[in-house]
Amino acid sequence: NQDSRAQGYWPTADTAEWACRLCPEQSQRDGRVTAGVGHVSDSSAKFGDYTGLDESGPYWLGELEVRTRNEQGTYAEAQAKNLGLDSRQVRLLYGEQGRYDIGFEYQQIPHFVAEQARTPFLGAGTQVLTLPANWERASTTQGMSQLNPSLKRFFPTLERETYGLNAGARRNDRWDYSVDFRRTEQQGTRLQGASFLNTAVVLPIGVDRVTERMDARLSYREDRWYLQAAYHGSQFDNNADSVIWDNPFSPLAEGGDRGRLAQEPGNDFHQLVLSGRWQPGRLLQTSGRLAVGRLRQDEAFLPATINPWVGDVNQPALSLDGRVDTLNGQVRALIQPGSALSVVAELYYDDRDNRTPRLEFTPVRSDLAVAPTQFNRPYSFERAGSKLRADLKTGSGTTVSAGLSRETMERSFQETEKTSTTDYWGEVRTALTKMLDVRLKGGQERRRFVEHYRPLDDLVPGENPLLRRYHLGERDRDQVRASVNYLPRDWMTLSVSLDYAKDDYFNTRIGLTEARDRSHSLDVSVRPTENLSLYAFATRQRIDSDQAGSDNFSTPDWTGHQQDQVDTFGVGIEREALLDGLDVGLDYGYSYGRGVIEMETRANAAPFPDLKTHLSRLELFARYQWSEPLSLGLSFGVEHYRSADFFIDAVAPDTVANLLASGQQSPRYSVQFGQVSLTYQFW
Amino acid sequence: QTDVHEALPAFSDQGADTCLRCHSGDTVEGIFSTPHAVASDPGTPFAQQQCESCHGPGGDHAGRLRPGQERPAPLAFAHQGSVNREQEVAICLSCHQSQERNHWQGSVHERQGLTCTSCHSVHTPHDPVMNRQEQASVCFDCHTRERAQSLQASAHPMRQGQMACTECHQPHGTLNDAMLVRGTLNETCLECHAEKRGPFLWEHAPAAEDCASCHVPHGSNHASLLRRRAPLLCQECHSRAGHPSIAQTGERLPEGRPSAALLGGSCTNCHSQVHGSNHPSGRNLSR
Repeated sequence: NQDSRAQGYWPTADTAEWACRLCPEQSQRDGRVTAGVGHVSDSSAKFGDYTGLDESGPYWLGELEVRTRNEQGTYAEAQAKNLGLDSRQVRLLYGEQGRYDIGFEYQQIPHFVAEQARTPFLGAGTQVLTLPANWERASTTQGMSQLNPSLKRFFPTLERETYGLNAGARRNDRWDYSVDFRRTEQQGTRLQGASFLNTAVVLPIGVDRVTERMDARLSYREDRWYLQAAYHGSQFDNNADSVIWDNPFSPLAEGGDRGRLAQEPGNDFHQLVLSGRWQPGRLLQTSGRLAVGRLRQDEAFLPATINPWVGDVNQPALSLDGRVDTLNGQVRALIQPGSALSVVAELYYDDRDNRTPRLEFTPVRSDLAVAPTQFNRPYSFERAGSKLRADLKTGSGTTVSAGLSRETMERSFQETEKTSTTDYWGEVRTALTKMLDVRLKGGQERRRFVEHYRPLDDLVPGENPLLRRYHLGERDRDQVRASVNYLPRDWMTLSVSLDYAKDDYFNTRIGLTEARDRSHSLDVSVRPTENLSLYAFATRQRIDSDQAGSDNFSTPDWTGHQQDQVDTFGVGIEREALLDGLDVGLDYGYSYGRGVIEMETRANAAPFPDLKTHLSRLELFARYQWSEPLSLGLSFGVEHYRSADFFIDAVAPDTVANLLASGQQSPRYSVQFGQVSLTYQFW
Repeated sequence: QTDVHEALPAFSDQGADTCLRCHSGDTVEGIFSTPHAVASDPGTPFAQQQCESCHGPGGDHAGRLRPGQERPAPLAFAHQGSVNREQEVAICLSCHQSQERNHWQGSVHERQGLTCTSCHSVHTPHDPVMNRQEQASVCFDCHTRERAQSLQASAHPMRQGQMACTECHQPHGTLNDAMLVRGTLNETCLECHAEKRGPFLWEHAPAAEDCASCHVPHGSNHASLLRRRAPLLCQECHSRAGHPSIAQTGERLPEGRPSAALLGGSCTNCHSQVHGSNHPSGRNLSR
């Protein structure tokens, strides 16, 4: 029954005379309740996204935090946040230290999918979307006489609620058991496109999903080794397995006035994981993990069409009987022959073995006409790799590191069955002075075909033979990372960092040909006195990509260049005890993103406007300790958001002849928000 | 245990009472509001050598000084302590090396020279890194790029305090890339997005293989955390004759000849089942 933790790191002292008379009482009680009111000046779905502050007006604020712990180590905790909002969180915990614990957790997350949207459909958010009885179909949206009179506003919103239960126990500090169960319910309405050949409509589709997850772990610990066996299970159920919608366009064939869109099928995943560590000494320390899993999906197929004019279409199976076996694992060995050198060797393996039957299906194209039969392509891959790296510490506070890794990837039903990737890098970390720490890392990665890349024969119509899909294509990647940390005082830190990566798809003529990602940042952190802290940061990230295409399915005749540049800036000040009992602070954050898409074609291509997002947020806060148990909290903030997105701005439901769009606009808002609260510390 | 043990000073005469005669205030006494101070639990520091369980034998530090002699620092967890970073970690791991801390050795954070106190505050019952709302600000001290990305137009709800870094990452080290909580990237993403797990009758292979083929995890200038915009994103891999091949230019904006292949959801106006379809007629991911 010996507790191995009691051995500690240092030698054992004779503590017989150590009375700990000056130690505060070890039983603790800490309890506070906060109540208050807040106000939001304007309604905005984007501002309320994930916070629940989407509507203007007042809201109430409720928080609770209680902790108790007695001298025997029995403890209880209760925490509740945002009780007056749809972003509320509750957590309860009870246990006896070193022996067991049980807990409960609840979390609600509101997610507002779009700022505003409009639809002519009745039954938004359900599984059957119908058009008004007086709807007049037309071949274009402009010809739909009842479109504008029928449009109704709706707010696509998804809400996640998660309930969690967990329990853990320990015995002799050797055995450890735990179980964790979570159920997440997701409900609401989202936007999804649906089409009949060359006409499309954005639908307000209902979401009703449940995911249940369970983790159970059993572990045993000795001084030099550790072993854990775990089970992970996850089951997904979709209570809305499809949606039927009325075709707002003139049908292209008899019976083509309704379509049915599948939703994600229910599935379950089960995994057994064995992991452990064995450390015979400082010279050799090893750890490893092996996971065996099975993913299944056997939901009944929807009929190939709901068009009665097409007639019966026989399929080779009533459901997929889908099964994917997974096997992944890693092994690591850390070898330290001396205090200066350490070497890490790793092996890893990841296999997705798709055992789903391969059958010949008869599709109905867009619920209109029977198409040629097609075989499904159950996708499998196998990834295997090794890594080796070494760190050498020199006497002058410098560490020199180098690494090499190699990976092979085999895929089924792809243009190349096997690729190989080699990566090597070097790094220097050095303290130039006591105040100046410099790190520099550079590396190169090479991805090559092991098997030739050739267009798939059974893909009709086929891809351009000059295409190299970007995640398969041969690629050279160069990376550099540098950072400098300067500590002129022990209360001040200045940091500068730079990251650069360039991908060259040198064998690609159609597809992504080059990509670059660079970012640099400046950070300052200052704490000149115990009561005053300041920080500031500025970051710029720029991502460029170049790609080529061919309008006429031959050699490249157009190129596209995308550039995203995001500048971020932030500053914060917190001053404690500005006056007796008064703490104040300020936080400011700013982000400006600009996206540029430039197309070059044989003709002079008309330019696109820039994509822009602009966020600034200023928040001031103060806490005043009114009396021993009572404190007052005040906060006030202003958040501005501006965005321009030509993909959706100015696209009304009838702007595009063959697309009945949702009419959503990119968000813009200026919101002032503030709250006042009283916190009563009852323990 | 290392060579630091070879010439250790003695322990103090009276343990914590020795320390508390000079050291006081919330930053010191906060320890008594934490599990570390529960003496009834034999695994805690206060069931053993009290303050010196972690800081090391403090006889020298607490002892009398000769005239002009500088007071020796405590061995560990102190400014100018003689114990190095690796040994400070070993002090914590002597009690805590179980569960998620098993893969610390050789992990990225270990190699970069972090110690437990780089992230954790021990002398307080409110360790910010253990709090969902405050954790990111601790991680962002070093991960400045991710902090900037969290402010971008599309991001997981970190800024709103609804997600913590540790819901995807295991900062004590794992054996996979990026210290993910599950064995692979997709297993990690599918924890919360299980509807995209399939297997589908018609699979979109890059989605089944690697979510990062199309998405970035920490923030993007494009909706749904996409790397780039459709249609160019899709045209990185799709070049068939017909509309997948055609360059979409400014002529296809609302003021020109507006195109369903560009505007709104672009390719996903029709091919909306981008993660796979289980509809028998869903081969081109439009049912």
